[in-house]
Amino acid sequence: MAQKKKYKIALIGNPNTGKTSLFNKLTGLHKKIGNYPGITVNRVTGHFTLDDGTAIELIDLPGTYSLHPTSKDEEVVLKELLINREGIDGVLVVADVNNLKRNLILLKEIQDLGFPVMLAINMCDEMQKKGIKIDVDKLSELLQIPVILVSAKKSKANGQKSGKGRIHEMKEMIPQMFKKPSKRYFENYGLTGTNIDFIKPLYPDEPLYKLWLLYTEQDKFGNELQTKYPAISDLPFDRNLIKRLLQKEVIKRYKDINRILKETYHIDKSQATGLTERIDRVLLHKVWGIFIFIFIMFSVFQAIYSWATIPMDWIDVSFSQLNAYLKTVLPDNQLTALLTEGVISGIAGVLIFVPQITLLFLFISLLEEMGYMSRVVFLMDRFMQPFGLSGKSVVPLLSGTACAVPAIMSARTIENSKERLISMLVTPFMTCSARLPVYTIIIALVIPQKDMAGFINLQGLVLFALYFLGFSSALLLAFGLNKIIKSKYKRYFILEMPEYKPPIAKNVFITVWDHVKAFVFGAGKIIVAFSIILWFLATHGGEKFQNAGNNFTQYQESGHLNLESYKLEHSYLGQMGKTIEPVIKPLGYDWKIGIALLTSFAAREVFVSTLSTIYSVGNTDDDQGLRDRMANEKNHLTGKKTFTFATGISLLLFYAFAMQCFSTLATLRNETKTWKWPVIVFFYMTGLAYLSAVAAYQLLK
Amino acid sequence: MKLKDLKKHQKAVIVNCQEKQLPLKLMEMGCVDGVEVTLINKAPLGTPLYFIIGDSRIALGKEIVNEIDVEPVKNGAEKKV
Repeated sequence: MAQKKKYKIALIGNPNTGKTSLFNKLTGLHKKIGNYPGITVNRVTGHFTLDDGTAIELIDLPGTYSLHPTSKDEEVVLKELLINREGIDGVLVVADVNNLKRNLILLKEIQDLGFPVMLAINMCDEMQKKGIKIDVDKLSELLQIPVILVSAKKSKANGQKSGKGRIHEMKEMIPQMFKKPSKRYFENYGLTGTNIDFIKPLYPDEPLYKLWLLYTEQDKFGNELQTKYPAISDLPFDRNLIKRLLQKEVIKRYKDINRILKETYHIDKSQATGLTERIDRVLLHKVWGIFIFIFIMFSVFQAIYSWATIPMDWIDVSFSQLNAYLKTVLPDNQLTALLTEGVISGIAGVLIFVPQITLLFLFISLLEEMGYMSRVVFLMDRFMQPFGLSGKSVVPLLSGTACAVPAIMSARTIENSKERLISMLVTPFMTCSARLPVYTIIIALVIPQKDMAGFINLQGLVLFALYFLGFSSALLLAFGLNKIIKSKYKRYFILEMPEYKPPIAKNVFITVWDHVKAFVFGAGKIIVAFSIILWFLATHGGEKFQNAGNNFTQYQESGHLNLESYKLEHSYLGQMGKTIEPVIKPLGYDWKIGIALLTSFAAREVFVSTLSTIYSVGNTDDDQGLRDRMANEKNHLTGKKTFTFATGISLLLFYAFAMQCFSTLATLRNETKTWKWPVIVFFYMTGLAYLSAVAAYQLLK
Repeated sequence: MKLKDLKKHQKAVIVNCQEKQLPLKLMEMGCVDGVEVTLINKAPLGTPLYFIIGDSRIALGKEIVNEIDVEPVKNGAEKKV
């Protein structure tokens, strides 16, 4: 007893069982989020210690209905248990009291893999209300594993039963799963006379069910199967026969479970309140349901744009003050300039979007937690289908209005690989928050501040039109891709409709945190890196650049208002702008806008600060100053004003379509595991941007 | 009778589900022969349909509700009350 033990336990359960809540309850904030090799599904682990000093490491795996995965998230569970299983000592299965039968299918599958298993039946606080009775001791005896009733929701409130939702008891029970030898049932299912007979002798030491899963799900493992289990990957594979066997297996398992539950689980159906069904009658109503959905979305966006401006202004001001302060205290040299203009400006450019992204994911995860997102999927599926999208594509498309990076990642829950791919490829068209500052300044410049029909603000209307343009282009591209991309699998729609419930603050907080982190560290590091490179290109240059300081009158002669702007023209970046000038001339742009287009590759909103520097507006916070300066700017190619209505519309279209975000491309690469799609998206979007901008300028000038 | 033909709040029992080439996930979610289904709601454009199947609330798309056979339960609901 004296020696300290360590166990590594995997936490597995169906979606909507409160598995993550339970994980959070068990581990508190002692958790670590990493990545699975090759894919970017979060690998969350946490730690806690038992009363006798035993250390437990808990791994939270994505929710899954079975070990036959239908989505990228679910594949993680299978791979973790089959290929990477060395580390895992046992499995804690979380089940939902309302759905015990279905949850036990997964439990039985895991048992057959030879793992010691413990069952935690969650949401036990709802049992009385729903007329459910469970004979825990008998269930434990029949399943041959430790079983406990817990509640991740109730802490102290419902104290009459056993204090803190029995979380502590549950922890202490974990070592019991190692006391009895683990039982396997699959061998007795009588699925003999089939392929299973060939598999068993190949690796006699492994549990048969593990070999069976490796064989039936072999397309999920790729090279790993060939190197670790070559004999299995060489076997012939008859998809239809295997499917029949898998169905037989499920039936066998249900029979088993029905027998067990008959003795242990009793439900008095007259106690059911049907509250969820009654709410659904309103929220899923043919007409009202759609209205309510639109109203909720409208309120969410309204809230985001009115609330986020406050912290955004605060971030903006704090960082420019920090930079101003650093410039006064640090020596005036290259290093200080790199720190302030490159690094800190880059970080500020990332953080400025955090308020909007936080708020959007706050609302999305609140709706998800309460069970409403599944209803959105239900309502929207049929509308999205003609475009090759699923109802589940609504989440990435909505998230895309904040930032495409977490949005593309959220497409992982889409089972059908074709629908998932199309969702990811069209999400970058959605108007993300980095486009807004560009839209704002150009609209203010070229669209008159006028009311249409007495009450519709024309500038607001144009902004709305740009959002609509983004959304409709996404749908249109999806429609085209749907015709081109071939699908291996037939599309089908199966969706669980979870019970409505009040959101758990901690879960919402953690989801928001995960998404914001994905943005800050995923997109953020690329944005900062680009800012530094661009800073270098803008502050270094050839001979003329280096001699700029010596010849004080030169810059005034060449029409520059100050040295800064003269230096920028002769920097490497300025030279690049001039190089691309012939290409962007048909769009109505000169090399100055060309520089801004190039710097936009760090993040689109850098367009604004670049123009401020080029047009020698000292204070970048002062939009009015920049706007006045831009209004008077003359294009040296035409001799006319640069920012006419035609150039403005051309720029708006260019920013609406162009793929100017390297972070998005990198995320696409991560999610599709190939550069093929990011490259296609880049050329498609940028090509469309170029053509539409040319057309707009040439028609309107 | 197919699953798609159910009327709102009508009860039925799933039959012949095993012989069909249906997604395995459907069976894993509890949609097997002999299980009781009730139609709760239809989406605005007709599908998906939203059922209570056994103990679960599940929405199913057109391609599935067109396939699954059911036998309506006659007056089953009245007896229980």
